Amino acid sequence: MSRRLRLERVRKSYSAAQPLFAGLDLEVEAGAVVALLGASGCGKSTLVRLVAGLERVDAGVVRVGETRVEGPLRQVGLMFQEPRLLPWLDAAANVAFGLDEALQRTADGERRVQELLAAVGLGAAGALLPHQLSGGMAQRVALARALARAPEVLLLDEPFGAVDAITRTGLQHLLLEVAARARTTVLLVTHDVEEALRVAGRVLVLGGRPAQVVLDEAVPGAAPRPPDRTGLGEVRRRALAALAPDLDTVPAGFGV
Amino acid sequence: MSGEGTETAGPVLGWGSATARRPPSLRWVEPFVLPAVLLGAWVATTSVVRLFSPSQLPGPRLVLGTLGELVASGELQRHLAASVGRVALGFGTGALLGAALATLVGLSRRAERLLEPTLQALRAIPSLAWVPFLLLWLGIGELPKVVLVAIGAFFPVYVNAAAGIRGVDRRLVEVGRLHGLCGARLARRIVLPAASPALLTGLRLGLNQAWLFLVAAELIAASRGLGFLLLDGQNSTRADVMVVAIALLALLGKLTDQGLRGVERRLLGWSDGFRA
Repeated sequence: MSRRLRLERVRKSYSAAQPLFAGLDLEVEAGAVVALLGASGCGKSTLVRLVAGLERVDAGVVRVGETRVEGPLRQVGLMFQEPRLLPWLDAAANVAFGLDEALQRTADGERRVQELLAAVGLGAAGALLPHQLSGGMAQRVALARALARAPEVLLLDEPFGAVDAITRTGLQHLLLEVAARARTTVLLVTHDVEEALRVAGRVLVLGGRPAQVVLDEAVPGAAPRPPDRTGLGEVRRRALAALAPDLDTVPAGFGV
Repeated sequence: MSGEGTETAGPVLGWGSATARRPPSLRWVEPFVLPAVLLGAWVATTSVVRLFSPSQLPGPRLVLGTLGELVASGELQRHLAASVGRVALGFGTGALLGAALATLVGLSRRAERLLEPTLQALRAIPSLAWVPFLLLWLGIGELPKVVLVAIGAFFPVYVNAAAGIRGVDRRLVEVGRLHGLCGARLARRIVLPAASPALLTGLRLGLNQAWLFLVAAELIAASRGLGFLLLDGQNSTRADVMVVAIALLALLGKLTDQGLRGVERRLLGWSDGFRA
């Protein structure tokens, strides 16, 4: 099962003078892996939070499949920028927290937790507490937790920013593998053009205020792509060009 | 804050090299050094130099003798049972109420608006000011004493737990909401565990205050209890009895606090900041 993700004429503002979104349209087709790029403060994280149901739109509709998002949905998984593990639970229990409630504390659930921990390379670390984990390990536990419910839509908000390069590549591969196997729809928010070009089938650039999709570009070739792959030069150039105006303008709140 | 969660957190910073070089096998002795010195001073000033008369500060032999007599007559057990019973009942009730109201106020804005200002005002009343009213309303039986102890335990538990619940990391609450939790389940699985360090701090302070209020209650209207024993010693100019009462109060306060610290250590092993 996989589901399409749609934003229709979404409006959201925290200050009336400077709305973040004023009629934003965006679609991620079912089963696609799409990267969302944008300068910091452009509304990427807010967009993710709207889709995750952690915040409400002022107007417009967010749909996951045919379901209108009005609060957190079971089928939507989210991995935050930071691990956000529950510090009083060990790694395995943190992953189990992501399971459906009926599966928690069952033999099946335990098996699934072990599989997930092994998949993120932490098969032996289940009994460790969050404060005993390195940043990269904690983020891997967080990924396992986000995958525990086998979400049909997986949102990732700059998830690998704090992870070292090798772990990062491993996690990107794992993400693509899981997504391909379950036909999961993935929206990966990042400010890293290289990461976007490595894993996504399509790259969106969010820019302006109110924010709009200023670039929507298909990335040719099967992901994950080797970092030195040639032929992406043109896509990279266009993506960077779309990001650049954002970097030139003065963000809201930093008035001259 | 750099990891010293409690008053006796291990040597975390400073003094580094000296602490590191000292042989660890002797560390357990260090807490006993000061008590041993005080004990020595007591023996020296009462039995050797006789700086104080026995009616001012009785020596160890006299005090131990008195302790023996009180135990033999069964009188001490009676006082102990009365005091411990009052603290157990009062602390139990006060702490439970404090934790329950803190949860309510911490989770519901409406409950906060309804209760918080009044509770803060009540908290400002000095403990002894309650005594005349409690005697007036509840007579001179056990009830007013237990209620006074409960009032003493209530506020530290309430204040700390409420602050802890209010201070729970919003980002962890979001994790709970994201996984479909709300209301009581969100409270049980996210808010209360996250606030448990503050709750335990509150319990320890509440227990401390419970002993304080107990003595206040027993000094004023009681015929049993360690506070009464202290007062009785004063009225009959028996400093030895007063020393027994005070030493027992210190011992009981310390033991019960130690018990709660044990609970704290077991429950808060996960906490990054907690190293006791």
